[in-house]
Amino acid sequence: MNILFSFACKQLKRKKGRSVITAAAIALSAALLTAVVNFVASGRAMLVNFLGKDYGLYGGAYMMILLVPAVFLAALIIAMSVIVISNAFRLSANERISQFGTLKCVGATKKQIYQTIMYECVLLCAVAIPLGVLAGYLLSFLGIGIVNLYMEELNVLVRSMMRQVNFALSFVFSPIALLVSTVISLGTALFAAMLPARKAMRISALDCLRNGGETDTSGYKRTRITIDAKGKVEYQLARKNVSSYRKRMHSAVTAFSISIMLFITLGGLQEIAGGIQDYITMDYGYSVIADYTSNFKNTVNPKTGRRQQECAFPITAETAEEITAKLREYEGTDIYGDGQDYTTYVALLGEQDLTEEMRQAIAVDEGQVETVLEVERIILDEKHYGELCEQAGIAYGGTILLNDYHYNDNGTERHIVPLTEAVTTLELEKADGSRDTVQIDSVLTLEEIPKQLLYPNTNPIRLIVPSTGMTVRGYNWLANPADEDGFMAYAKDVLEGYFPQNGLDYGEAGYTSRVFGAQDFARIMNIAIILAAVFLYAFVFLLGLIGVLNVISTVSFQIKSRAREFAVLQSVGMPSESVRKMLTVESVLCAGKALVVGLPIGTAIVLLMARCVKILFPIPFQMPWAAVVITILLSFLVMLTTVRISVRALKKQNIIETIRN
Amino acid sequence: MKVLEVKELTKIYGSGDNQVTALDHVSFQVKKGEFVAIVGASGSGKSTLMNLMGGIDSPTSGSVIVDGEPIFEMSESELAIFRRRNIGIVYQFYNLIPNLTVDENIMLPCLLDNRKPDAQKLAKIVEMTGVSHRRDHLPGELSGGQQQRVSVGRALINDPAFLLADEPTGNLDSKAGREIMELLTAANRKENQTLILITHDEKIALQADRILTISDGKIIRDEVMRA
Repeated sequence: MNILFSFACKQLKRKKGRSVITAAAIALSAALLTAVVNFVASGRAMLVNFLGKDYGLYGGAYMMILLVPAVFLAALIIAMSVIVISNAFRLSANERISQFGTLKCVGATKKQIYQTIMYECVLLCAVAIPLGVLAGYLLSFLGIGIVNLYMEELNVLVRSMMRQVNFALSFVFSPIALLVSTVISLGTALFAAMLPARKAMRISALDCLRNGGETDTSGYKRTRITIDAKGKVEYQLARKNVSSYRKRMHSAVTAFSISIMLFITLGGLQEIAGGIQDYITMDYGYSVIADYTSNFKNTVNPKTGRRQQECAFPITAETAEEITAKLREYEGTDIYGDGQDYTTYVALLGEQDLTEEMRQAIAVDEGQVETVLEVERIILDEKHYGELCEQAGIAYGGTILLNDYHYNDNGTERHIVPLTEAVTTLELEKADGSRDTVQIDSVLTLEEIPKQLLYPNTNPIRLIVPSTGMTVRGYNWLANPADEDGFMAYAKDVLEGYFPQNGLDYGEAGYTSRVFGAQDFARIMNIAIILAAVFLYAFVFLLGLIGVLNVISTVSFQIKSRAREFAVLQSVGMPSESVRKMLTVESVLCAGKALVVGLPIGTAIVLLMARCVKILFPIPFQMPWAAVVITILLSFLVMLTTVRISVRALKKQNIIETIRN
Repeated sequence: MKVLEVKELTKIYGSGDNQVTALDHVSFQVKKGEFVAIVGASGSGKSTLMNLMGGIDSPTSGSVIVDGEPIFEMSESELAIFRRRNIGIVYQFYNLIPNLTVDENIMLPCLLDNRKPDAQKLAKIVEMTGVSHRRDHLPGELSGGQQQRVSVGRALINDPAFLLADEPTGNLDSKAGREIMELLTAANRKENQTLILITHDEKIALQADRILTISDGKIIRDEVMRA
């Protein structure tokens, strides 16, 4: 057997504990990489099954949706693995630096020193990567199983809103994926080992012999911390040591910081997802929604150059009312019907028509005479329209202004009164330039507007108009039946009678009609959040585990390599309790250092994400306090436990023997 | 026939005010089969001279020629290979590889060359160093004297141009020290092995054919004890 190979084997056998930790880190890294690659392969198979071989029109976009997170996750795994594996080999090289010196003195070349460390890596990879790949497949298998548990419910929910949807993620064994994950894992481990190997080979034989114990031959760092009688000596020593050994602990602190940062980011992400879910989950007091939406296209009016919408199959108010009546026939069910026209009219408003708040909200320039705002005309079923007229104190057939405009003011939902009391008529204009004047018979404020009409994404000017002769692009029927399933089946039949889908998919008939549970969107989102949380937390946990392995390996090595220093301290009268205290303080300081870096970066990422989300949703920033507290507790727990275990091993050593050795 | 030629060898450590001249234009030659002792007080430059002769440190100026080859003109890799084949070094603290057996430690320079030494040669060295009953033991299982004998065996395995021994008895008791000196002198006398010994022990130095005394980085005396 080649002598260098034999060295590597013997070193691995001699340091079983660290060999196992390093192999575990390589295996975890390979497992995570395999899981990511395999999820891409399985996701791709699902897309091919769902969309066809070329993924249809949006093939590129779907591929990006699969690849971008995969590349991001893989990059994170690789970065973390390089830090951790490289540190493990650095420790191994440090331990043998005087051996390398001897080898160099008896004629080993630089390349041979380099090969010694690389053989160690190859040997560990030969065991750890196959195990890691297997674990990765197991993770994928379990992960896909978990996804499919939710996928069935997701399909039921989605099917009620869109037809012919059947998502199923299946476990895919792809030889290419296997090759890719093996090559990436091997490449990562070899690259990580290469860094300390190159460093070790560059150190001269003399330096190896003189500085036995550290590839960083620049020696101990000088610090400004002085030991005096002003404080407890163990605390002062601990501070000095952390400062002196900062380079040696650098990788452990960095890996720890990354884990902390990821955990905080994930906590923040979950807060944001929860906020979005709360915002989009509207409770109108109805449990079932039936709706009709016509296809449309946006065109430009050739005469005026204004944008206009052309609906393929608009629904008339009469048809909507007929359907409302039929749906009401279902036992014990009231129906609230409303339809919206968002695009036919714009309102031409003078300077005195808009309130100051509204002028500021929509940024009307000083001295701007006319403001053009989009109008939303709403029709209601006859019964509820009548009730609203009565509430507004006007006769049936009048027009009611809903004088409320809500918008996202940098993460805060604001409701303002858009029009002044002076407005009694509105000048409306169509895309073709023709105008109509509408008399406003009554005005409802925010408190008076029924909650069914406080949905998101409204136009600034909202009018409840009489439905006679109206056509709208879409109409909703809201119901609260005692028997939800029975009503849903009944409503589907009714809508199918008016708007036959003939087995066509979403929008293919020129329109879409659906019947679904009012909370279905929220449930779908909830499932998506649960799935994302399960996967991301599992990912961060495993990645964090690699970081923790690194911390354990580094801290225990540092304590062992400083055994002589501790023995000297004890020999000059420092009690072992004080040594333990000193190490405890050191570990707290190191954990603190990792937190000082990881917490602000994690919080900054959360803030950045929240800032981006605020553009779309009025969600206030929520600091992930639970994640912060858990992270702080876990960080100290890992450090303190590792120190405690390592110190216990030190206690068994004889002071004199340790100093002599 | 000269096996080693040291010419105007100078080594300066540090820079500016912290400059220390460890060796100052040292020159001498060593002939084949000669036993040379280099003596001097602590800090006189003995170890620096030994490191330069062994090619494990580089000089500020001057040259070291071993068997006609100027070693500092070689690349780092060439020098490493040259060292393993032509120079045997024995350290005060043995510097054995702890996870290699006695045999493996002795064979190490050959193994680094990807070749196994001649079995007879290995057996002869093991016999000569007196560790034949411990061939499968690890260094940690040997006494200090035995470890040093293994170290001498490793230095001799390739029939080097010269053997460099740096205070080889400095870490041993008097009996073990005597045995090591017997081993080294036997190699010199019986095998005509050139031996350069660094020591501060006058008694040991007196066993040499020639004594070079070094002080403040300069050779201040070169005495031939026996021709």
